[in-house]
Amino acid sequence: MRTTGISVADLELRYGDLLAAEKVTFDVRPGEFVSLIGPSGCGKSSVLRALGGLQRPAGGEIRIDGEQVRGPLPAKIAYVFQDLALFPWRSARRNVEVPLELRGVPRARRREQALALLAKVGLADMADRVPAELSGGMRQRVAIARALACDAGILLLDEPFAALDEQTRLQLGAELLRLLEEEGKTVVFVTHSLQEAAALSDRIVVLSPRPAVVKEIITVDRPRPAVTSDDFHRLHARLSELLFTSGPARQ
Amino acid sequence: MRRATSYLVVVAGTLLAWWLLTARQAVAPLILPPIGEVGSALSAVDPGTWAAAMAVTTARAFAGFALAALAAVPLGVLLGRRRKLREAYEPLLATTAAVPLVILYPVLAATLGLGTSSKVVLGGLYAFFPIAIATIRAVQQIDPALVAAMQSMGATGARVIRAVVVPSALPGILSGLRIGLGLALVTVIAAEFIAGADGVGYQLAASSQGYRSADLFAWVVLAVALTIVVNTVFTLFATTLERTLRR
Repeated sequence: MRTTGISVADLELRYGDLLAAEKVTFDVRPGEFVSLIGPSGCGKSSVLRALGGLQRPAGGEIRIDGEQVRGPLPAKIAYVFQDLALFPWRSARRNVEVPLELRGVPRARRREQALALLAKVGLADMADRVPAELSGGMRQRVAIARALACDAGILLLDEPFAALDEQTRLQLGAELLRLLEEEGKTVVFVTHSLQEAAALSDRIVVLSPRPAVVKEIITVDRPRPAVTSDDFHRLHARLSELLFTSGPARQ
Repeated sequence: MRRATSYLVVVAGTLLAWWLLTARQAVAPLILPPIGEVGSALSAVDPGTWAAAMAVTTARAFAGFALAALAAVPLGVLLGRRRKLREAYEPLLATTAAVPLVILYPVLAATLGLGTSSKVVLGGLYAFFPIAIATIRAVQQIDPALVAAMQSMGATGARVIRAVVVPSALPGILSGLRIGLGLALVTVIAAEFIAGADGVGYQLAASSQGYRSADLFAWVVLAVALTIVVNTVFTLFATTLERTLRR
C-alpha cells in the first residue's frame, strides 16, 4: 500500500516537568493533507516529532496503519526538518542519496534515482553543489527531494518554508502540492503561516498555546482555494479568529 | 603568489638580521654563532648521523601519537555522545591535562628504561589529552537535527557515528590531532634531551653540553626542518581524511 493513515489518541508530550502537549487526538486519512497550526512555541513541532518517532510520548499513542509508533519508521514516514538538516559536506545529489544508501540501493542506481528526483524539483543543474552554494529556496527543494527519496507514504513537514521570503514560499508551496498529489502522499504539515495552511490543506488542526490541546479541527469544504477567492479569505479569517482572538482553550 | 613573496621576504629578513648581528660581533658567538659557521657545521654533520637521529625521533613521536589517537578519538566520541559519562569524566580529563606530565618521566624511565618505550609513552600521554578534549568538544557541538535526520531515514548505532558524527566532528578532531602530533614530537625531543643515547634531543643536548654552539644551531635547524616535514605530512593526511570521510 502506497498511502497510509495516522491516528493520534490522547497524545501527551513532556520535556522534563514541562508539559508540551496533552490529550491531542486527531486522524489523518490516506492521501490527505493536514496542517497543524498554533501559536509559536505551542508544541506543534513536538507533536510532529512524536509522529515521526523522534520523541517518545509521555502518554497516549500514535498508530500508523494500526501499528504503534515506537521509533523512526523510515519505510513509512519521511521527515522534512524545520532547518532542513541537509548534510553540509554532501552535494545536493549525495544528500538525496542518503535514504537510498540506508536502504542498500546500489551506487549506480542511487545516482540515477537521486538525479531524477533533483530534476523533479527543478535542480538538475545543481546536483554537484553543496548546500552552502545553494539559495534558501534551492536547499528547500533538496530537502524535499531527499524526503521523496525515502519512498515513504507519509511526509511530515516541519515549517519547511519558514526561512523563505513570501514569494518563494507561495511558489514552493504550490509546487510542493503538485508534487505530492502526483505521488499520492499523505502529508502532515506544521506551519505558523495561516496563508499556507489555508492554501494547501484538506483539514487544519488548530492547537492552543502550550500545553497544546486540539482547539478545533477544520475541514476545508473546497480544498486548495485560489488565494484571491472569497473561500480563501473566509478560511483565513476563521483561522485568525481561532488563533488570535480567543485565549487558551483551558486554564 | 603574493603570499609566497611576503613569506620569502620574512625569511630573507630574518637571515639578514642573523648575519648582521653576528658579522658585526654584536652578539657573542656562544649565544648566536655566525651563520657561516652553522652552515659549515651543518655540512660537517655526517648525513648518516642526522638521518638516523631524525628517523629515531620521528618514529617515536609517530608511535606515541598513533597510540594516543587510537585511544583518544573513540573515547572522545563516546564522551561527546553520552552526557552522563561526559559529566563524570570530563573534569578528570581537564585536570589531568593541566598536570605537567613530564614529572612522570623518571617513573617511566625507571619502569620502561631509557630507550624507546619510555619516550613513546610520554609522547603519547602528551598527545592524548588535546586529542580527547578536542574530540569531545567537536562531537558535543554536532547539530542534533543532523543526527535526528539520519535516524529518521533509518540509520542506527554505528551507522549514525560513521555517517553523521564523524564527518561533522572531523574538522575539530583534526585540529586536536594536529596539536597532539606537535606535542608528541616536542615531548619525545625533550625526553631525549633529558636522558638517552640517540635522537634529535640527544644530539641537541650533546652539542649544548660540549659548548659546541655551531653544532647546536645546526641541530636546531635540523629539528625545525623535521617539524616542517612532520606538519606537511600531517596536512596531507588531514586532507585525505577529509576527502574520504566528508564526501
